[in-house]
Amino acid sequence: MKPILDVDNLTRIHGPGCPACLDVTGPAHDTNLCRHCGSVVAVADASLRLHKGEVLGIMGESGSGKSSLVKMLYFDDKPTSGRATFHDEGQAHELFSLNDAQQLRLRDTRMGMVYQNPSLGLNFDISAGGNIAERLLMSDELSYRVIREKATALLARTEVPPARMDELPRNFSGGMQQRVQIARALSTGAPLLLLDEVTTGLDLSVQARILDLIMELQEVTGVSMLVVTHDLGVVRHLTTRTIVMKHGRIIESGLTDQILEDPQAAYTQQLVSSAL
Amino acid sequence: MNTILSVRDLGKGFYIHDRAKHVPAAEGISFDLKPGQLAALVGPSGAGKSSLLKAIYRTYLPSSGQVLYRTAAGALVDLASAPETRITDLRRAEIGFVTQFLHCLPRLSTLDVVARPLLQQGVARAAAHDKAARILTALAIPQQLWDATPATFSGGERQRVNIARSFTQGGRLMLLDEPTASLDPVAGENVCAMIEAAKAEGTAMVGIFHDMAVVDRLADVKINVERKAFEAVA
Repeated sequence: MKPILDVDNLTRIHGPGCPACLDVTGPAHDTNLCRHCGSVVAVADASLRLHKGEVLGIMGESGSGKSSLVKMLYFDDKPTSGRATFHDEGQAHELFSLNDAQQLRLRDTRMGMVYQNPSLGLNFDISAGGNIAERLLMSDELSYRVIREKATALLARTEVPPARMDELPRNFSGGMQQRVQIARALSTGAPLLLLDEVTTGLDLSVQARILDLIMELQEVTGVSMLVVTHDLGVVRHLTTRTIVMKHGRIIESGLTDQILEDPQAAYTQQLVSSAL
Repeated sequence: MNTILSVRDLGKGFYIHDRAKHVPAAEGISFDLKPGQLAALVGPSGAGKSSLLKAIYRTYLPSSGQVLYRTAAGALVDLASAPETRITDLRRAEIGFVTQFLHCLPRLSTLDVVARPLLQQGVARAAAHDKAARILTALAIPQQLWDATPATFSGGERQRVNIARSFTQGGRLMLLDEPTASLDPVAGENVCAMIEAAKAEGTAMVGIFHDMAVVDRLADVKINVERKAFEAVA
């Protein structure tokens, strides 16, 4: 399997930071707050590899740093230190050495993000179809007819009724908003998709259908995905490998069924045994 | 014939952090398997048979020993220590597992659930559905149920769907955890016939069966698994 994304020692510290930050935080200290300088260590020394066509889960409770990690990869936040390399179309992009224009270009055309909160991933002031058109325009598709056709096809594929493509997504249900977000993220055929708690807060039946949809799209397109979730069910259904985070650190990684059935770390054992 | 699987001194124990306790499940298990052979793990309930099977599949991380597997391409891989991506590749293409429990999404139809592993291997939809239908028929799952999701099925039906899925996928090595438990005699017979057919085609298998008559009928090798004494709480 070829890598598509390599993350090396990624660290994000909110606050002034001091030389002791990494030494006095983490699972062993049961905190991510540095007692010397008051900084919050959101992510510390995180390294991972995502392979082409692979679905990797990042699991952990609120505040474990899992969302902070993917936000940096999508340029929503800047790391304090560390590297990430995106292997795409024969090139190795050092994500944090690129200039703003290059970063925007990758973000708009070669990566997709689906946020827990649809208002972050969608423009609520333009129609559902417009949201997809916007991203297609950024990838240099300029023909109105082609854009309209593609948007219609994408919405159909994510099971948004084409009759509603000219409505504002703010009028949609939460599940439908997620479908529009997924359609938008997929629109440019990006090889890397980042999913941040995409089913959290939805009804159980809607969750199941969204998971189904994601799984089906993954199989058809072979897109690589990082799936951030606190939900063991999401990890079980979507991913083949899983990383567990706590207090900004990766504490365990393995095959998903092994993490769920034979967790090694004390924290993961607790997490798995507290599932309903 | 060449050995396809060589289990050497395999052991599995669990450390439960919550209780600061080590729980041994199995120790010192060794056996060899050739294509077309079936090894049955036999022993009392709680002896660690399922744990061993899961340790071979890497659902459990082995505590000691080796699980040497000869791939279709001729490479020798220690499943106990191979990189995770190597394991996922082998699971997709060569090594199958039949569990007693079926996890599936509520929206998938039975036919899709059964055909799914083939689709994931890149087999065309029509061909995958054909093969799935053949196996479902052989296991006597009524055609009226094929469009419904197994989430609504009875325990025995789900188990047969699970078996159907594993045999549709096939593979060079199959691990069977009580495939005939809770089935009626006719369904049990269908499953045994399917196991015999797969053996005849060269599939190697490691299985656990509650019924000793089934063991005597199918097994080429019997592996005795002893119950381990629980260690005192530290």
